[in-house]
Amino acid sequence: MPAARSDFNPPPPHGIPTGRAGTPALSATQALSLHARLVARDERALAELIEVIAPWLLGMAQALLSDPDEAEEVVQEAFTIVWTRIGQVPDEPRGLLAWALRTTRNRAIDRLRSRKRRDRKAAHVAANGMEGEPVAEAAEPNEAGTPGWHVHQTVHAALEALPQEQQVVVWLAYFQGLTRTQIADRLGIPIGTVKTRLRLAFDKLRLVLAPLKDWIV
Amino acid sequence: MTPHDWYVDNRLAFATRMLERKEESLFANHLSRCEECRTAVAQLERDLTWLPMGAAPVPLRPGLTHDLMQGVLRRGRTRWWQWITALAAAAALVVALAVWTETRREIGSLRSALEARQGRLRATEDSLSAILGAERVLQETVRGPGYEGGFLLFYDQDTQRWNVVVHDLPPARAGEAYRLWFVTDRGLLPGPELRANGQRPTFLTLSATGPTGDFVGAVLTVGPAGAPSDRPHGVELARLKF
Repeated sequence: MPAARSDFNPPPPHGIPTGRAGTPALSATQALSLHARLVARDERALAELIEVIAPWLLGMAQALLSDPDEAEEVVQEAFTIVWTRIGQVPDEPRGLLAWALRTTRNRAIDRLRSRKRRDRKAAHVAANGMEGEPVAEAAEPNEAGTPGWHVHQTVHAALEALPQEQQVVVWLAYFQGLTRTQIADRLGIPIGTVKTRLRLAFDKLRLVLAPLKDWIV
Repeated sequence: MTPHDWYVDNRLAFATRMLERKEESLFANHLSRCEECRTAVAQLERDLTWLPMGAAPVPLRPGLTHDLMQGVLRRGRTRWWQWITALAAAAALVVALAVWTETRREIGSLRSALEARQGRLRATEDSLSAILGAERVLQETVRGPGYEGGFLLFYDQDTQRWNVVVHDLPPARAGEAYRLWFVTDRGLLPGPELRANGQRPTFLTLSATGPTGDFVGAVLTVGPAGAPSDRPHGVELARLKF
């Protein structure tokens, strides 16, 4: 799962302090404050939210769509939804960021399905094979400065701890947007096996990820 | 296995959007009715909140933050303008509807007026045609406060009848009526009451000879309606003698 990096490093967003070892962090109080300012239509709060969370939304959208331009469009739609429907977002520390992540993933999957890109994508994967390991590569030192990186590390570790065959089905299902039937076709295994692997994998993931209350310190 | 077991087995697949489109729709309908599944799916979503962050972040290209900001705010403004545009369109529709209704009403009114005038024109043409062809025509102007009308008597050779025309007289006041009297060699004999409305001429056709002798003239009066008609009464407005 390559993650292209550029030399562009945006300055720490306004109001977000630097945490341990230079890692930008957002406390629960600050997350609530950000939410409140968004409710108050503070455009600076929107800019801060974009700086903090857009890299993650973009990463997920690109993983699902395999199209940087389309991923940006989806992220744009997600932020527009957050901005226009902020009143519906749960007023709790994780509410805003969780809602943005879920909204982006749903929009990306909707787009993927509506455009029937999945078949083209599956054909592409079939032609080129799986690209590298299903789990993201280990953290690089320069990425530790990204807000939420420690959560990525935790999720990454949880995924990496899964047996290889479970990693593959989780990757295809969750990060590539394939249905169980398509995964079975793709891997050439019975759909019952796909379901079993997914169930076992998600049971483990829930155990590890559920206690992870905040992606921000 | 009960039907509900299928939903229980597929809660995770629904929460993570791994179901086929039809299955997803089916499950969503079920959720609206099943509190147990709703709670379970919500819990799954909470537990897996941060799973999307398993995908590596992508650094923002230069200018993307600005582009996203502009896009979000522009769409917000667009929505605002969309509301204004929709309201303006609705207002324009209401105004157009009102204008259309008023125009139709006015057209109807003008059409009625035109038909009335055409009726008067036809009646006048008939009168004129009869008068032009008449052998003898007698007329007298009737003047009063705010009006000037006429009392006309002429003989139609073809039908051998006398015709009486009253025109441009206002309606008689309440309780009064116009009345025609025949002048004969034995004195005045009562004729019919005439109704004038100031809009159309009033016509009467009389036989050249009556049961009480030849006519030699006519008188127009206005007086109490329904009054005894054995003798002239009211105010004489005009008198014509052959």
